[in-house]
Amino acid sequence: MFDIPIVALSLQVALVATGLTLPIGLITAWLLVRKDFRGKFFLDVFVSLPLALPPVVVGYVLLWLVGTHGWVGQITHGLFGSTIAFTWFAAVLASSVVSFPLVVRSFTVALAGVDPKLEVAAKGLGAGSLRTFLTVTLPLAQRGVIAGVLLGFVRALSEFGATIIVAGNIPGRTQTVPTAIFTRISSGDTNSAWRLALVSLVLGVIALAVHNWLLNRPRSFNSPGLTRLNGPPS
Amino acid sequence: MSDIHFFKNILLVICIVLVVACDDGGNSDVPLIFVAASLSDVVVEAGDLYEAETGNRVEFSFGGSIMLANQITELGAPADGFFLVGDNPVMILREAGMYSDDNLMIGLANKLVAIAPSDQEDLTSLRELVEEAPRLALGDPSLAPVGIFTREAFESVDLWDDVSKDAIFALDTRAAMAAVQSGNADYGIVYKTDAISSDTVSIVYEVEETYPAIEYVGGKIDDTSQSEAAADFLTFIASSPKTRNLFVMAGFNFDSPVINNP
Amino acid sequence: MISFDIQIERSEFRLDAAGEFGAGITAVFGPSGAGKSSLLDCIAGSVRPDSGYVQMDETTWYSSVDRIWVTPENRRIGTVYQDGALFPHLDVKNNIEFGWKLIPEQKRQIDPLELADFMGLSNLMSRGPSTLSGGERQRVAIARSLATMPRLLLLDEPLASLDTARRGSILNYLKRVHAEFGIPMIYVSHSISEVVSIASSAMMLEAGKVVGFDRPTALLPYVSNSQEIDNFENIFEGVIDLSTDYLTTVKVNGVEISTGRQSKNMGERVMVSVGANQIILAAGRPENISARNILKGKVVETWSKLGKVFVHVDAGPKFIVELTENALKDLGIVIGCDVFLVFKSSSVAVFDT
Repeated sequence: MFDIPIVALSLQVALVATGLTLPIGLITAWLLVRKDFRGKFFLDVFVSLPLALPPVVVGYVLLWLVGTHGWVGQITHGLFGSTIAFTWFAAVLASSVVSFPLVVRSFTVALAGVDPKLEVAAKGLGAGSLRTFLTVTLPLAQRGVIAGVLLGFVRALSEFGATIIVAGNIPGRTQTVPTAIFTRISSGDTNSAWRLALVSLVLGVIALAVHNWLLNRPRSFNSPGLTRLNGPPS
Repeated sequence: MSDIHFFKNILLVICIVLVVACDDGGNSDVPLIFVAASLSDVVVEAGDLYEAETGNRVEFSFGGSIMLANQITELGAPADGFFLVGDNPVMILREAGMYSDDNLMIGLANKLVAIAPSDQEDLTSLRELVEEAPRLALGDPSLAPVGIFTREAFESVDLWDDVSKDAIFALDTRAAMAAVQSGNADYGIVYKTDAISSDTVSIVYEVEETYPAIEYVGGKIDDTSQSEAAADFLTFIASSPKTRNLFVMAGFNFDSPVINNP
Repeated sequence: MISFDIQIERSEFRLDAAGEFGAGITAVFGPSGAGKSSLLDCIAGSVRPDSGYVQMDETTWYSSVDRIWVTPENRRIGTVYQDGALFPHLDVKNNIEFGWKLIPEQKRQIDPLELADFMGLSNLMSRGPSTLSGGERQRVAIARSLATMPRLLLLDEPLASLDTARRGSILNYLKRVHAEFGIPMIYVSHSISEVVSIASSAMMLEAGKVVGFDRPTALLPYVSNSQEIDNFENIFEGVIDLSTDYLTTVKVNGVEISTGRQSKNMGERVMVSVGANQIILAAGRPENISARNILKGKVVETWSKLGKVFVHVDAGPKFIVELTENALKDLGIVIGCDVFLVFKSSSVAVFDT
């Protein structure tokens, strides 16, 4: 079955892309939600930009950056003798950049739902910023964070436009499920195109189902402020 | 405390994934050869034969030859070798300083044909084709040399302007053929070798109008990490009787004026 | 002892306050928007003033002149918030231990389990905060802050979201905490009843400025918020003296107060509360009257505010009584004269401690 290596590569690319966007997305979301600084507006716009641009444009910009003539490309060329373009890592880059806005948006909503007073309370009890984030903010935001990760993963898995520009469509190296489907449709290989399309569908449905289930599950604890007015006598 | 452990574990998982992934995705010790779409089936088989005999693997990227040449020269694609059709791609490579005539390893020739679904009647000229006013699938001249050859053929009888207005331009010869196979085009102009390889379409006319000789040229790209390995492969398939046979059976011929084959 | 002198200047809000608070319970009160919570935030370190200083004993936490700033997590201040601000994803035990765990072992000064016991929380340890009542949540919040043995305890309207019954109870817990652990407390509230009940000194804030700093009762005449005065509750702590089927008396500061039937036992500690507008003043001891409570006392102070008159009477426990102008004139009540406080036993509310 020719399909398994392609699916495996796609999953690998999407997983690594998600692994990259998770910490960077968390930091970015935290900055956007909790901090005020000059240029915050620009950060917000910059982060959201890949969402507003056609993926092929994103791919082209990336190519311009990391290809042989781009300034990142020239650095890598000097160091390693080759560029990132048309490698597996370029596919990861394309997927990460395209899914980043979605991930950050989900994280922002999740973090904003945490009462800042709890963070203040934690600091007052002696917890530093990082510990507060890890032991108070993140656990309280975890469902939204996980949902964001899933959303990012699904987007990374289905990325086509940016991938095909900056990573090409090289079987075994950068041919992901979407680009493979494109090749098969283009060359008239409809049966195998449908097979891969089905795989895409199944993966997408599973991820979205888990995402929705997570967000709709009743919470195991209430947020503070919902004090019982007629509770048992204290 | 357990919260911190939980998230440390997540970070650990992410790091492992990243390390494993980086390890796997390199693959830069296998030569990468950019191959014209019309050669795809044959070259894949040849690649299998090569691996069986020598134990070495080769990887390919297929597409329209001009598109591939541009990827190599403009976009930094890490090709070690190429096997493309037409003057333009080779010129592009030569101008970028990535190729010199010493690198030439193999040459092939091909012919242009008109195809249609198998039940159609034969034609006797391009003019007859155009008069039927069909939906016509052609290669895009800016991406695939098959489009250039097609354009030359039509221009030689002053029909290009009419045809190009409504034609369906495809990425490469295979895509043009796919359009005819799927019924989205009534006729297509493709390489003879493509038409031979298909069961669902047949040749209705072997183009006799004038067009430049279709030549395939294969060679290595100068100074890449695997260019010698690429050269090795190309030399092999040019000389090994089994692989030569593959090409001939597919309808290619080695009578290319470009190179004196061994 | 904590001393401060801070200024904040924002477009919608200004604060300019200076003072020195001792080791007891100091209240900061005033109407909403007066700047009480902001003052607390500045002392706690969650808000940085524009200028001034904040100092605790020998340590300077903030000084604009010397450019000193100690972050909140390094000031060792405990805070109890209005709604508790308990961590909803942790159970009671882990909430209480949250700050305690961060202290190196040899520096820990208290056992969280003992503290929980002191606060009556021992059988709630594995519950989640959302399953607790308001009073229970506040007790957990107090325990959580105490577990780190802070140098200072800040309380920001800690009773505001509780109903009247719980308020008395938590107020009592706070008094016991102060007595037991000796931690200085700053108690922010808009309720004068609470302030009078718990604090030994009070700072009154209005529109970002300090308008008074004295014993709470001395400041009462200057309180401008009529609503607070309207509902003034005299709150005292006492012990059940007598408990029969018809009557219960509570001994407060040596004086017996009768209340309606209670299901309490002799010797039990309780809180009692009598509204200022439920007490009748008599110039002489009334006879043949149904009210069960007739207490003799001396008038300490009188003042009028917004058409009402308030009289501060020392009858052992100190009461605030609300009268009309006319009544005051008719009775010829002046400072120093003897009066009798009269109120029904049904006007006396009794709470658990």
